[in-house]
Amino acid sequence: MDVDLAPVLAPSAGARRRRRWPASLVAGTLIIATMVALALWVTLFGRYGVNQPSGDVLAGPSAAHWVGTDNIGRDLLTRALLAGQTSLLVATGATLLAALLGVPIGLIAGYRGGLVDSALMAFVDTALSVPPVLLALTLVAIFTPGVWTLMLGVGLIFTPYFARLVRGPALSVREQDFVAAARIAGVGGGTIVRRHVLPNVAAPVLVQLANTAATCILIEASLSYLGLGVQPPQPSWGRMVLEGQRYMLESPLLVIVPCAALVLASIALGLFADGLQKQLNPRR
Amino acid sequence: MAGFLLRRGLRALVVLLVLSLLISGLTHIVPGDPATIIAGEQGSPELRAQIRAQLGLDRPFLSQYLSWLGNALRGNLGSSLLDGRHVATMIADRLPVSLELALMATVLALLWGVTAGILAATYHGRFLDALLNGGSFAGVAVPPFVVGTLLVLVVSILAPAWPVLSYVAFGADPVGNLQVMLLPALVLSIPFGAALCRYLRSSILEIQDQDFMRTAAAKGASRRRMILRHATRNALVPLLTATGLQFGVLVGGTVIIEQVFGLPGLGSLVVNSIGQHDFPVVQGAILTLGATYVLLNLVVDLLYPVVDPRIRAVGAGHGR
Repeated sequence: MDVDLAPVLAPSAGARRRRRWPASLVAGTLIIATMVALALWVTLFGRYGVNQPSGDVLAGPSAAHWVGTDNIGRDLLTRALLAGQTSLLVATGATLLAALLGVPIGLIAGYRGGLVDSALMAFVDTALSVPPVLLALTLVAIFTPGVWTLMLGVGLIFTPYFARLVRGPALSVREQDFVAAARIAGVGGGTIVRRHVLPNVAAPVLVQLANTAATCILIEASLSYLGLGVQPPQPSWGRMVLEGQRYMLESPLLVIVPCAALVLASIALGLFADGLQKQLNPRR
Repeated sequence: MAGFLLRRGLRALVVLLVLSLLISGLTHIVPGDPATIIAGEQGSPELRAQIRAQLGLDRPFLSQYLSWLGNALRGNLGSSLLDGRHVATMIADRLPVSLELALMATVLALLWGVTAGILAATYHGRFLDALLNGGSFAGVAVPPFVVGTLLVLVVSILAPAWPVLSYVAFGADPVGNLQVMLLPALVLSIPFGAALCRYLRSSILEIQDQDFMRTAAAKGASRRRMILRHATRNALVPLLTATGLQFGVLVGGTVIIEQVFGLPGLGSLVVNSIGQHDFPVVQGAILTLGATYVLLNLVVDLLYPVVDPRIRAVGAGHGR
């Protein structure tokens, strides 16, 4: 069903003649776009504020509250939709930070080689051999939990993954004749890396961006579920499950709604990453 | 061979050292002052200074770290800021719960993950493959705390007699203990087994194109024998690598699953202690989790030569 939508997304008739867009890419993009649009719509035109209590506590679905209210009478749908914003904010921020730090480290290590490479990669390898959740817990223990701590912490955790990804291609491009030619022609190192090395690593970096964002959403939700992530009153799916757990036997929707939203977002990003991989690297 | 093991052992040591250094930075940069936590908000400045001297917090970072490391190596991890109990004792009380959970999850994951992987590869391109592929994709994408919470909800509604949130020790009631641990272990095995299934499927499919597989087919080996004897045997090395990588997910998973199911393990100790700013406990417990992970990976490294005779012959490092 998703495949039929592909031509709609294709920008022009010329593009339509090319290979079809992978169904997973289209489906992932559509789901994420819908979630973002709904969150925006709720912010602008919604009937309820995120933390606005109504008289009904733990109410079931009704015309006023489509999926009911929570233990202090806040509209569950509004909170679930806006929690997605928090989640996407953390994921986007952390992923961009990881890429902005990791890609240059990898490029420098690969292009310079020698001692710089060994030193940087020893650091990267050590960081890679510690489970991410342990690093996250350590960082959360050091700093006060919250959105910015999460963004910074999770971003730092994923930096080495980008460095490792970029270093290999940078190393191999360095040995190519055209790079030697550019160097003889007097082109500086920075320009060579930007013009010749970066385009060669752009595709895997894009895929890694999508994959990292998907993982970040899960880490944010898990930490918030442990009470160590996003702090109230800011809504987040993990925290909603944590708080809803106590009342879930009386009103199961309290945990089902945020769980469903989280799973949908996670699967959508996973599909997006999977489709991007297929689109950029059709051979595999 | 010896060189390979030595290198892996050294790397494990370095990782532990870095982790311990990072965690020790804790007591140094934390916004909340441990002395204030012990003395209480009303404690006099003199009392606070005295506690700080007692804990060694007035000394420079490196000297604090070295004495902590020296003590830790002798098995003394300090004591809790809240009730003065020895951190090592607290960890020893809780470690068995986490280890039991992790062990059960690993066994379950290997059982169904490997079976599903082999089935998916055997029925490549058919309905069962698509089903298993979709299932394992969802298994990786859905976080364990979601599955756990929903499972607790469903079980409490459909089978109220099943013990979900009432932990009993194995020594006190073995059957009851296994009953309580089964659901958490099952949930923990989902991302683990799903990842194993995906790895095994793709490595078997990759191996299928190789020359020796064609030779086996030409000899008249059945498809079943080809997959089980030839392809799976060769896929064991990547499977082992995948298992090692997944141990990181497993360690993180226990922390979360223990919280979902109310199990008194190491993970819930970490989470509670972070909430209470009980830094010596956080320090000791995170380091123990890290050490467990490093040890598990060392075991995986030791298994490479057992699984693959070629590594024994060449004696060079293999795989990551």
